[in-house]
Amino acid sequence: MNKKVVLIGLVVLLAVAALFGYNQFFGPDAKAGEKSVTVEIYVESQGIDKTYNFDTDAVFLYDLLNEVKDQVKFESEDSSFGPMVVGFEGYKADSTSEYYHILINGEDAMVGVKDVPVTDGDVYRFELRNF
Amino acid sequence: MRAKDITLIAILSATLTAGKFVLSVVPNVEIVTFLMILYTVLFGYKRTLMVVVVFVTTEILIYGFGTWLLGYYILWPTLVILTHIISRTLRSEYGYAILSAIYGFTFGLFFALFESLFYGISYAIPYWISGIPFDIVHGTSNFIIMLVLYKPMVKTIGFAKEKMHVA
Repeated sequence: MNKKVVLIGLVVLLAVAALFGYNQFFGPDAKAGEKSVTVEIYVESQGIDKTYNFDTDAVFLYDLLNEVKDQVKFESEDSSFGPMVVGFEGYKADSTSEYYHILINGEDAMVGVKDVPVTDGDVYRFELRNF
Repeated sequence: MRAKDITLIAILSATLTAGKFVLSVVPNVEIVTFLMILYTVLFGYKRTLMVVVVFVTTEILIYGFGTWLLGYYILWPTLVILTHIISRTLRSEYGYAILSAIYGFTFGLFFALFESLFYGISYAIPYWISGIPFDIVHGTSNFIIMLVLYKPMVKTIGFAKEKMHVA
């Protein structure tokens, strides 16, 4: 058999083994989350001011919000910059004048929810603001 | 620089953009690494570096301005320089296959390092780890593409190069 075909087959096998190994080490498991975080949702006009504590293994904030979607009634929309937070607790931001501002430990987030890493002990606050 | 070089650089960079576009439906399988190595071997590193600049700038025009452009402006020229260095002693496609595989496997890691300059290391680590499966696919596909396509493409493009009287 051709040497190249054998080599390619071997490399593909190794890649499959590596992917399997990755899933074993980093894949989601059934045990309770290792990171404890706080999510605050604040919509002044609707009188919404809620605080949740979650234990999670989510890597990024967007994954966490999807995990607890039913609890916080999280809604998002896809944009060219990635998913955008548009609703919490049944209140959807009016896209012409309002948006959900994201604060991490009281500081403005520099990136969208998909790129915010979930870190143990962090407080993520979503505040409805006007623009 | 002669008009022939300018035209050549334009055509080669167009093939990179088109190649990337066509394969963009398959996550992390790309032909750009392969073409850059091939062009460096056939047309020299100086021309290929200019091809890289045109290619990355075109990417910005298509996808918009982002922090990733720093990584692109550094990582792709690095590949060209590395290829140029090893091409002086290497003639077999196996060496280039290993180079492109290593490039694919470590792309996410180096990209994460550049992103950490903007967002900090606490962003870079999960970014890198969550991308490892894509890096595995990237490196493996790079390796296979190089092994399968290198020889026929060197022959075909080498033939075209002779026809066009490109030195």
